[in-house]
Amino acid sequence: MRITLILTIFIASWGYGFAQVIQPSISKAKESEFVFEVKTIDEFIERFNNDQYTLVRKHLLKNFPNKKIYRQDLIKTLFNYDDPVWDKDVATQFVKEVCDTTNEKFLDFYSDDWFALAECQVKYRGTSRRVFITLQVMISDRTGAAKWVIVGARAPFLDFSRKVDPRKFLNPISHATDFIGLKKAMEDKQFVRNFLSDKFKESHLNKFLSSISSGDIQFEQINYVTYHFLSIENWMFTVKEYIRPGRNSGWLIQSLSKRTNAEKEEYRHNVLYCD
Amino acid sequence: MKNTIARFSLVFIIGFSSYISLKAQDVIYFKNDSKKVGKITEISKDKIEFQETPDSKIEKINKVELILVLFEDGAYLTFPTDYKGITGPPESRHAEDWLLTKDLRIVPCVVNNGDGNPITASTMGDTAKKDYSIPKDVLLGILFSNGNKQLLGTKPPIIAEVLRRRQMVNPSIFLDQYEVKPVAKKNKELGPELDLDQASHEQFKQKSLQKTEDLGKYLNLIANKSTESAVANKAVDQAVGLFLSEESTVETTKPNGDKDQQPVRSYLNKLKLLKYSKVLIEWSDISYVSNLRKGPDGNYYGVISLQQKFSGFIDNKLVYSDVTRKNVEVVLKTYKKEVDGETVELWDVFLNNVGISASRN
Repeated sequence: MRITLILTIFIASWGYGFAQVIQPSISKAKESEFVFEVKTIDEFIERFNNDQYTLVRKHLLKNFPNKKIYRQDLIKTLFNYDDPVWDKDVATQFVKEVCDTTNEKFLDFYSDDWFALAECQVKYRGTSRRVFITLQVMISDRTGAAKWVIVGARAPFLDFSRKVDPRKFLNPISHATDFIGLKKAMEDKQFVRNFLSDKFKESHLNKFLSSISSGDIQFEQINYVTYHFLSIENWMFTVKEYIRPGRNSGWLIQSLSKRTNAEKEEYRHNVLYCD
Repeated sequence: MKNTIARFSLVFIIGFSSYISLKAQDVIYFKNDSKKVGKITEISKDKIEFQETPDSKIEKINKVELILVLFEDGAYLTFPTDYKGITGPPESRHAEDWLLTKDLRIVPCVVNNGDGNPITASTMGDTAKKDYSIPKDVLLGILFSNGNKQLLGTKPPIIAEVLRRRQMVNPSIFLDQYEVKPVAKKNKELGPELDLDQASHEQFKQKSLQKTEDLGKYLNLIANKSTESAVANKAVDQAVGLFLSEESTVETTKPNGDKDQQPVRSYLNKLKLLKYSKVLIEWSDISYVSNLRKGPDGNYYGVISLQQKFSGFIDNKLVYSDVTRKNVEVVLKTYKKEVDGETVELWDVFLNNVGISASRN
């Protein structure tokens, strides 16, 4: 890849023949890694959009003024190349499509079709548990101000029991006795689903917030965050932070797939737990 | 951080030696106008023990030959003196940068950019947030709190005389004549992303970087065992003043890898308890500064990413070192101020939460 070649030449030209009294504060190799590392999701979006002022572009232009930097080169630096779970041909098609000058596609920080999914560690009644919290950027129409808001949560340990016993139900004449069987049904916690509609959907976010409010759950820390971009037509991809030495590090594309609108809708509910 | 990528590359082209001269080391000035740069290992009643490089032989120099020593940590020693120790006198260290004036006085301040001419500076705890632009020709020299120095061609005996007198001046008395009048922000409609013009964006970036550099200076002072308690406490207050509020948090990693978050003051106070006799905290020359985004409170939020090198020493031996990437939230806060009878809206930058990322030993 063009960019990689440039970097190799660049680093080699620095050399390491300066072992003197004082070492430079941070080695040139580490500085170079820092330039190429995708340090925040903001920088990911800037690089994806071929922003003229993004750090890596400025760095390359300054050091290699005669080299033309193409958008597809920058996008290719946004993929994780260490044990990738994306398909090379699919990725090639994706890059070609988003860079198609007749219909270029960009990412927008203020779009409502990308999400952050945070795996969090909590204490639930004294035991360590994991909770997934989904967040999205919300913009005020009135002031134009933005903030991240919670739009979903998944706390599997709070799930209602999924046990079903065909012998347990409120019989069709229960109304005649003012639902006398309801008390017994509510005490039968293992089989609570027997008494619910088939269309029942659990709101994990409500249950999670309720447990926070009652003190059953204490928030401890965020373990990691992934970003899920559904805003590009026919595509979706996830971005994860790869903390490692080297230039292919930071926030990089973890997975990439073609998705229809219906599949994206399903993803919002089943993976991102949006209510 | 004051150095740009371009400057750094240029330094390498013209030779690494010029870069070294900018870095803090102990410098010994002799009565015969010569000087030596290296590390002082001990100061006894009559002699100073000194090494030019870690591998070279220890040299013993008679104190009577000397006029001045400027230590790498900002301390100094003037002669004659009976002082004994392995570092410079702790009481000679200073939390602020010092401008040495031609009338042999010292102006404490924060030098925001000392590379060019004029230099730019501000003062600690200045609620009016004034900036000053001072031509170098009115100065004898600049002694930075982190040990860097610029003698601006002044003979060491004169610098020594200024330090011996240690006549401190109220900074505003000297600096007011060099005040930079604030430029009002353009009155434009603000969207979710602040539409700073190129000049203001550069100013925002420089101000953000300056605040992180100031933070580094204070961290070095706070964590060093040789810093006097009063100086360290003052540095904690000044470091907290760089942040949006006391509620700003700093993320650290525990030995088991878990992350921990602490309010900034608590973090700074814990730094004083580190086991190292000396720590050195340095920032990278290259940084990433994001766009600014408007928050519901009317402030604008951005992030600055930079590499931080932490080195911990015990008895002058490096025992721990790591390089981490820090993501620092920066907040652009607007405020109103009367300028020439008119109310104008101005802005300043504060640090907010500090996150940690990779650790690379």
